[in-house]
Amino acid sequence: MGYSTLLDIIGAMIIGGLMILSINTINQTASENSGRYNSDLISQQNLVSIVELLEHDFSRIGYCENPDSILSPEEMITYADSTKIKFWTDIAVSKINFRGDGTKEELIYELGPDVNATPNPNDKLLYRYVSGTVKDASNLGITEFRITYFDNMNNKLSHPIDTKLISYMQIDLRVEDCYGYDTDNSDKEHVEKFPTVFWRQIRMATKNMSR
Amino acid sequence: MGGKAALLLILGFSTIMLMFGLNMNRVSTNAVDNSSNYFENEMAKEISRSGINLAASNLSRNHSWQPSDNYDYLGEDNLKITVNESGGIKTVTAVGSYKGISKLIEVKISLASFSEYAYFSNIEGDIWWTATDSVWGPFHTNDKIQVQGHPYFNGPITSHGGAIKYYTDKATDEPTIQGTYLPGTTINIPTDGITNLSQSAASSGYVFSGHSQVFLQFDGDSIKYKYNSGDPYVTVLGTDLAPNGVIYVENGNLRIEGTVKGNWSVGSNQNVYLDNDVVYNDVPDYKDKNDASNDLLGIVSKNDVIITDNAANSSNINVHAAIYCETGGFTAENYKTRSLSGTIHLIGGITQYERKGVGTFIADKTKKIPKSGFPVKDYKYDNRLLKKVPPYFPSTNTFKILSWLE
Repeated sequence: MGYSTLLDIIGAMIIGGLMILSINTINQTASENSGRYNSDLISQQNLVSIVELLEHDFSRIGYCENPDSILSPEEMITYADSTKIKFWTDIAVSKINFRGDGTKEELIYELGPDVNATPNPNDKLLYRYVSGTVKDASNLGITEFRITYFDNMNNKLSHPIDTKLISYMQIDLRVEDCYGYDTDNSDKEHVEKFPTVFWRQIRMATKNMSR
Repeated sequence: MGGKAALLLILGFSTIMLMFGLNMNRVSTNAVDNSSNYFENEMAKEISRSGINLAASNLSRNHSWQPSDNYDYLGEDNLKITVNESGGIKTVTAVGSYKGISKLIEVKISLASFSEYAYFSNIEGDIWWTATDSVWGPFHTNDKIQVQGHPYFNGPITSHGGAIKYYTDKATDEPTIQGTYLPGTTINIPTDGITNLSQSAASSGYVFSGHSQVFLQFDGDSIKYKYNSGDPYVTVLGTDLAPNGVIYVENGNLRIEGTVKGNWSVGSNQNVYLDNDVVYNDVPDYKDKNDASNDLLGIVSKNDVIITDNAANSSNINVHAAIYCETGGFTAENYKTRSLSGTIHLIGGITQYERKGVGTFIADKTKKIPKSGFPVKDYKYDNRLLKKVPPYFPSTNTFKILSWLE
């Protein structure tokens, strides 16, 4: 084995090492990007699911299939604060039949406590339940659910909210990935670890309340 | 051998990178899909909403309007509207489609009656809503709402111009409105509201004609009438006199009093005078729109509804009725000169072309000192009027939304 062979081997090792390092870097970057994109996608899908449900339910505030049971606008919302709202509606009979059964129910949206079982320190449960039933929820990574109320002169209502004065609502919703990526890395900011999406409904006025 | 290995290595890497790239593309595509699906859903919903607005606009002009074939909104045949009617309630359905997604909105509407208003006026004149005034129930004026010192309105409010006129400024006079406030809404008082009442009275009610005045006294199941104050009353069973519950005086004043049992509308193409209390036999809980009382009275006048200046009305008056004045207003006879007469206790609502006075005050910088007539108005809206209408009470010719489902 001469010098040339030794040089070949050393050269091959250097080139091979550089290749392995490159592959490792590519792998890390690819994994990180893939994880981040997937987290983004999951957060976005969760957000759209929640928004569709919110828009569906909030547009039905005060609705009742039976005209004799339809409430006056000032009776439709029974409790309101920044993270909880109770209102009368007639929930859809089924997924196919979106009309109600003619009996009004009191539906409650309520932001619950932090979920400690996930790496994200901020995620909370958003409960949606009918008054008198057990409240239950899936963790979709909600970190902010805030409702701001306005009267018919567009003045922001202060707490405690007089539900009879509510004419418009602003809903803020923030969803973050529950598990994130590289969450142990102290060099990264929270938003870098947990992809975040935000949605705001400005001045939602349900048609049934504008009668 | 080395060449093959290199080829395999390159192919292997290429495959891995390709799979990785495909995965990234799928994630990106899904993200865009997610966003565009939401957009398409919203577009379908907006097309449906447009359909409802289109139907509402047409129905307001033509109450028997029916949609034609499918409509084109950002596409071909992607909006279908149907209008069905049952029991006086029209159900308008609009199905909007966009990129294969369909959304349905269903709205129930019915014709509104003037009896639904706690207060309605065409002209407010120079009368101001003050700090001691409160209105419970639907309110509308085609004039400005003139406020002084935070009056209180509990119920939906609509007005023509949308302007609220402050006596001093907004901070001093802004009203409290508990309910929807919709400025820019015009609801005209019809010119033939009283005509429709007279026609229904002629068909299966009762029309008094050829008398300058008719005295009518409700007395439970009976109705008493006479043509001169000194005459004895003629007593008849109410349902025999006017089976459809409508009594009308043609070319004469109607003067009423008594205890009302059942559903009635009385009117005149001149004035209606309230000679004494007109109250329900079964007085409802005015706050309860589902109260079981079946007594309901509509008072319809071409000109004014007037509280007579007499001994019976010299100390308070109780009126249970929905009042309608087509060209005049609700007022008290000689309100500027009559002695102080106490309080008007009203359970019902008032619709008037022009707001008129029932009493006067001595102007004072700090308080209002009663001078004549009825200085205190105790007007309570009968919430049953949200659902019940006195027979053939004039209609607003506008539709109201009963429910909106989407």
